[in-house]
Amino acid sequence: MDIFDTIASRIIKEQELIIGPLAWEEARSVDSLQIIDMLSGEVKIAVDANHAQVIDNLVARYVDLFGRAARESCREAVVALIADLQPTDVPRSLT
Amino acid sequence: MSLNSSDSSNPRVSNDIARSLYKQSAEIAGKNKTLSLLSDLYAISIQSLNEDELARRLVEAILDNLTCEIVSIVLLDTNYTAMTARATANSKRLNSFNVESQIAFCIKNKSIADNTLIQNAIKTRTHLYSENISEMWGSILNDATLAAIQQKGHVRSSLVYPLISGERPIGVLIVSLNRTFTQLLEHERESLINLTFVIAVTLDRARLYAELTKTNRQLTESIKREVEQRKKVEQLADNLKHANERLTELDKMKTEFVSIASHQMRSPLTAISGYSSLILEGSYGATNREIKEVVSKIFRSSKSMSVAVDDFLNVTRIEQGRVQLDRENFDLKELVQNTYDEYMFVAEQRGLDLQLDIVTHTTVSIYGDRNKIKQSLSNLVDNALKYTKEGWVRIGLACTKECATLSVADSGIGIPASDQERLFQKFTRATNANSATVQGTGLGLYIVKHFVNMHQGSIWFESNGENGTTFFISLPIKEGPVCQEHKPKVIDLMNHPIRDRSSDH
Repeated sequence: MDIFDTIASRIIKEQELIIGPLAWEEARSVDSLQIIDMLSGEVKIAVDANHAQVIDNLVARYVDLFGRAARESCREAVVALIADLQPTDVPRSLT
Repeated sequence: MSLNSSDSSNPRVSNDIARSLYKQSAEIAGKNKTLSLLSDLYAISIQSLNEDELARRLVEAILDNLTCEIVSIVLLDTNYTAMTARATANSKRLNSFNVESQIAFCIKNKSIADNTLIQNAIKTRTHLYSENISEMWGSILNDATLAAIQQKGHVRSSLVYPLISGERPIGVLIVSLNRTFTQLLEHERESLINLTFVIAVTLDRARLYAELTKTNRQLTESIKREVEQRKKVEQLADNLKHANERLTELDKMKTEFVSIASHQMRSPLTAISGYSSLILEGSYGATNREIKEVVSKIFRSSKSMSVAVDDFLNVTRIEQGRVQLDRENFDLKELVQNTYDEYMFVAEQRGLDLQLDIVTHTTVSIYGDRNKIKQSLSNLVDNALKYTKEGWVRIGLACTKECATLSVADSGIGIPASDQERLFQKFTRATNANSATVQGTGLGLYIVKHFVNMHQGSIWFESNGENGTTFFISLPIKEGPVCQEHKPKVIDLMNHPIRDRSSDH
């Protein structure tokens, strides 16, 4: 998995800790995001998609349901990962 | 089931409830993460008691859970002077930089004073933080590695937590992150503080276990050595016992051999002395002077040998416990007189003055074995005559109500002080005895002492070591308790020799 795949996986798993399997259901609804294996948390963002945008869309699903708190928890889940990204590569929802 | 904001039944309330529940759930999830990490660490702590293995598993767990770049556990030795990096884990992107081995090597070879962050964390017992990578790793990692971990590892800050176990610092936990302390999540900060307690207790316990194991092993080895020593001692004691039994057996065999040999020699000796005596008496006709001289020598030699054989036989009887006393009442004064008369001729032949000093007017009645007392007195007189080249020998008798004391004094060669302790032992002669060219078996005094002891008497002697010796035998007048060493009142007999006074009465 590349860094954005890992970010997406981490976000979904963090949400799973809070809202349970619903996290995976919501993730399936995100375009260009493929759930390969729920148990291992393996996901794949389509190669031709805008990776940062897909992440933003994923975060938006949770924010729609649970508000700003959901955005905070998504960001906290991946703070270690996004520290390695160039600032311009960081998805807007996670800044 | 999914929550939908378009739900017609009070959607705003539903949303508020959902968000409120979400927040609470998120908080609980955060706490769960802390607890989960602590639970993982606890599980690690009970899986092993090996310090190195525990340290390695702990750093790996922390690295994964908290997404760190470098995690290292550094422990103090028991003297608090040296440190060792027990385990270090780094993120995958730092694998090519040998971070772990460099940290291990450098910390081992540097004193605690070289790193102020570590030193201060231990001293102050509080965790310290630095965003200066050189401050944390500058004294430990080389410049190339330092640059690499900053660029490739994106290390932006380091935390040093003291590990305290029971009020005592045992080392530090070092965590280097790709983010600042303020960017750490709340549960991450909580986790770091809490897990240092778990790490400290776990490793201290492992260390104690290692020391206990070592002490136990030493004790076990010590006990094993002691058991082996004891077995050896028992074996030696057993060997000694067997050797002693064998020696006793051999001694018994020797005694029997001497007894048999002596008996075998007695008959021929009797024949030799008997026939040579007859020849000297002229029973086989007249003999010329030369033959007489030769036969005299034969006679004297056979007599001398008979005395030696008798000594051997007496000793074997003593050792076998076969000596019995033939007790009777006899006059000791008469015995002394007879002995004096017997040795008068011998003394004259040697040019010595034989004297008699009986300081008593009445009979001295003794209940004992007359022959053995006679033999004992004769032995002493014989010795005195043998070891006195010129001068005199005096036989004495003095009495109290309880004891009669025989004495044989001479002006001979004396007995050296070094021999006085052992003179009554078997085969022992005074060291100056050989220089006096006197023949002897060294058994006479041993036999005399045994005979005297059988009569509950005592024997001792006095000598200044150079000239003159006086032997004393003390005997109870009547059969009774052991007569203690009794020295009769002595008039200065050495300088005022006294002639026989018994004929005055």
